[in-house]
Amino acid sequence: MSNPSPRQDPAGGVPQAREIAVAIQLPAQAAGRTRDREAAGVAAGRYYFRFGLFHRLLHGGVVLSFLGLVATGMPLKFSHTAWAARVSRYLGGFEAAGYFHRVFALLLCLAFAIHVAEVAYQLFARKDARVLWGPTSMVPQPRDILEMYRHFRWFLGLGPRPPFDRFTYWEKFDYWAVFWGMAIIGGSGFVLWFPTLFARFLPGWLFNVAFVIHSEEALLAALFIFSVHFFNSHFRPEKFPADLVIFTGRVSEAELRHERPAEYERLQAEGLLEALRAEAPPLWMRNFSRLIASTALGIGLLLMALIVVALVR
Amino acid sequence: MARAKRRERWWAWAVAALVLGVAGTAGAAETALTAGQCLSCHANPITGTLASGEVLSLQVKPQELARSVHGGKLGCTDCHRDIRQMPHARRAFPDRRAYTLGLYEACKGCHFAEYTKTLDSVHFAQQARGDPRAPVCVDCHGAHNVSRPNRPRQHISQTCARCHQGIFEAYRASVHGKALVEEGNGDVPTCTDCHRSHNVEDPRTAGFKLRTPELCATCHRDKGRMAKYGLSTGVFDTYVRDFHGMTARLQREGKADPSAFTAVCTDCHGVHDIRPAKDPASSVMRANLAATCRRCHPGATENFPAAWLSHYEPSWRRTPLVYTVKVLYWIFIPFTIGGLLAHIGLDLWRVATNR
Repeated sequence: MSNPSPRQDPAGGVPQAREIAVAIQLPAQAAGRTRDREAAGVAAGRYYFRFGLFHRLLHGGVVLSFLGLVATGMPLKFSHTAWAARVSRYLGGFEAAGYFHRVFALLLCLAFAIHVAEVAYQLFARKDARVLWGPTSMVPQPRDILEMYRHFRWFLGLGPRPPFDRFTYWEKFDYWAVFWGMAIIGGSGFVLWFPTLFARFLPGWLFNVAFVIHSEEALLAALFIFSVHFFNSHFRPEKFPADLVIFTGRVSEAELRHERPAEYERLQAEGLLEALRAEAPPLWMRNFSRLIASTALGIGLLLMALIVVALVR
Repeated sequence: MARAKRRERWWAWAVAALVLGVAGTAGAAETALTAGQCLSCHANPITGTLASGEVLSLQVKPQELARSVHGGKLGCTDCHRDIRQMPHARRAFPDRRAYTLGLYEACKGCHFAEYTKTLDSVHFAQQARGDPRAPVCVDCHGAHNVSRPNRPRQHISQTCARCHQGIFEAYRASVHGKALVEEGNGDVPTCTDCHRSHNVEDPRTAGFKLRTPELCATCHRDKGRMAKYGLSTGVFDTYVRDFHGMTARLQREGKADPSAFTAVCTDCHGVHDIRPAKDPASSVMRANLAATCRRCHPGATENFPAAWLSHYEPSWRRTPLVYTVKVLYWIFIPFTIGGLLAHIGLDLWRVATNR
């Protein structure tokens, strides 16, 4: 510490203080640029629908139930910590937390069922195979591997950023992680909810497995959503502190062309772009979205902090 | 002057004499009665008849008093403080119990700490509700024949058995009671080890029930003690890591309804009638386990008890599947989250470099 390092602030501040200042400044600058971009987008007035109201509401239902499930479930998993007892008490005691956990579980099951029904409707009623293959499908495809390879080349400065289409490979990972998680946590959850019923035809050891799976998979899901999903969708420097597109449903032309050039080109070539034209999201909608986003992100980060404290101790 | 001085001296002597005289008579009053004086009447088989018609023996056996822990230390009036002269006034008590209750507080003069503890006991609460049957000091310790309560140790359970006969019978047949009563084993708990002695807590409360695991763990986590009998010390830790144990910890924090409580040690193993897990009559014997589960889980089938790892840590040898799933998650979670965070780190690094 005694030898003067080149990082020493010429103004005399210790490096630590300077780094803290930068750590505060960078997000603030990123948030400022996000605001500028939003203002520019609204001024330009050219917006396109990315998510319809149906998908936005479905996402809202998943957000609400997921936060509720983590808040009521993690105190049980980490019952040895001081915060678990406190959170459990704030939620109305152990019995109330258990009751709400089941209510949120049913809500999430409903959202899951609606989504599966929608996919089935597209596939069988509309005979639309695009949900299974193609740029608007969530199914992993060769192009995802190619984009991932190019993305990593871009990370290392060896090439340009790949032109992504409607869904990037990490967004697909996000989708399948949640899909798989809901099936496995939900399934094991029902086994644990009605043990005597399931014990009539399932061997007893399966409950031990269900108990471990429910607990560990939930931990993975919470850690994933509150760090990886939060960052990839909301805390990226060009989106910080939140990407409002999942709440307003609308993306500005500039952002669409920058983030998903392949989708923009494709929609234009297919002549579908004009059908997606939207008004700029009005101020009330943007403010409402900010309120929802900051509440959900705040609760998620708080839960993440509590989980990390419990894991580290 | 000389006369005045003489008068002063006279007054000084007078005051001193008065003070000494008063003190002297006071001291004389305290020590006025010796045991011998009391026994001049009470060594004889005299009796008194109480208002209830009960005949109270007033005879004192000097040898009994001498053999007691107080022998040679206390005189009669140290406890019977209201008696200062001989013969003393006749005193009226409605019945024998009223006599005992009227006199038992004499103990607190010396044993104040123990007396204070009794004020927190379920026995005192019962007395405060007006139940004269609630035990006081002398009911457990005796009066003239006070002896060390734990010499021998079996004496404790016999003392409690005077009122709690049914519980004592169950205890005597249990793994703990058998070892104490038949072998005088010092490792097993007797009544007061779980219930305490002077501040006996009401065991029917929610708080007492939810503290049961810690209570049992005071011995069952003791490595030295458990090693003697080949018992595992992991029973507490495996319990709190299981669903019942987790629930118990959170229920203790809230105001849970006692009827909805999760299972603690005693719900499966029994309370006073705990038997070794290998005893055919044990409630946790494999053959009896489903019936034990059904007490809380109506409709539990024979499959159901296998959902309980029987206080074993998941291990490769005993529960390969549970263990494998656990290990896979220990690998899978850090690998997935770490990999994805590295992806984020690369992304951030590129954004920072490009700026």
